[in-house]
Amino acid sequence: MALLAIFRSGRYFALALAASTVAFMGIAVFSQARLLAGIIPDGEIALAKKVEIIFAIPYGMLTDMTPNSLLALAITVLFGVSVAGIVYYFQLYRATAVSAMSAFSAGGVASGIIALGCAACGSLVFGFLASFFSASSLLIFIPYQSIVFGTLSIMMLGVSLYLLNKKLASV
Amino acid sequence: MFRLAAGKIISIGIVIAVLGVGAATLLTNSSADDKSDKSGDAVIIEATDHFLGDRSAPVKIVEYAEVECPYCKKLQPILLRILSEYDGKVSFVYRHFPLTIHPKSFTEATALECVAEDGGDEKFFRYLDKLYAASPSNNNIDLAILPRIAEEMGIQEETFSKCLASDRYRARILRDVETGIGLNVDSVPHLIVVAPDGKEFVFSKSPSYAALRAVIKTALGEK
Repeated sequence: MALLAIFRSGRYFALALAASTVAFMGIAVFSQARLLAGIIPDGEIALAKKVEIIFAIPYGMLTDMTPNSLLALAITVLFGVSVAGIVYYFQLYRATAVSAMSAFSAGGVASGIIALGCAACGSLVFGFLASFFSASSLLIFIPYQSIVFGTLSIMMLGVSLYLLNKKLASV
Repeated sequence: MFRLAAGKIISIGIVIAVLGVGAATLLTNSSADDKSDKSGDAVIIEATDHFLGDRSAPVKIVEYAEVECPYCKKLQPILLRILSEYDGKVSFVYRHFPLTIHPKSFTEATALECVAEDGGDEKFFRYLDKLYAASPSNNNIDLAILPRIAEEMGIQEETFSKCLASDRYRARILRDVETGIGLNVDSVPHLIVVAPDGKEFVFSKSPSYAALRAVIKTALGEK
């Protein structure tokens, strides 16, 4: 599987892990947005206490495993894999694009990849971002039936990864 | 150079993704919070509230819940664990918030009140535990078990059934719902941890043990 092969490089594994961790922290912490909106601006609560509460939220999600936290974990793992895969795809594309566009600046090439230069890259990025946003926002916003919607979102992320894998295999 | 640019794009992407989710959440909740700020709604502990633990405990956890909610059922052992760990320091107030998607939860709320009529808060919470244990959640309970459970607890079945069939606790339950709406409760379980100085910590989603404990420690001023 072309997508999994990229994780032989420690760099992409670390990137996937970092992206997954950041995303999991984001989903977990923002699921208690109302609590945070109350404590963060409160000058009477010590900073150490605020940090303790903020970190207790994702920690608690991992220790008290519920179907929702499992979904969040699955979504963020897929998110991390997608980020690493897309970066890898960018690198591959860049290798060919650089020689063809040597007259352009680095920024131009990078933005071109996202905008017009690589239509395939754009659809990949947007497809996966849409899946991630829908998945994570559904978990956060919908109080009921979030398992059903979360599972559907995971399937969307799965399709996004399948397409990415196909593109990587065809390079 | 290109490597740096691609790395930057991805980093920015991750940050945007996380901030986007967060900002959207905050925006959604800010309207509700604004309402709360304007009306100045705060939890008012009432004499009719059902208490588990010491009524004079410095920290009170007020929960809006209903029996058919699976998240409320999962939260119950966490609340009991916190109460046993902070005996005398934390008490628990249960308020009814039966959801229309679970019509049987209103009958269960009435049953809880009927039990409390006979045996006070002690039996109220024992009956609540038994209901959580007996119900498969999501409105799948067979309501015929309500009198049976009450009878097991020493409550006369006839008296209980008469109470259940009557409308006398409707206003009491709706009063809880009204206070909940006033506090922007829109789903259950909804927890408000009230500190000794009146500061409120609101969990609009079911908290984990670790998160709830961290908030209790802060409310109690523990290091």
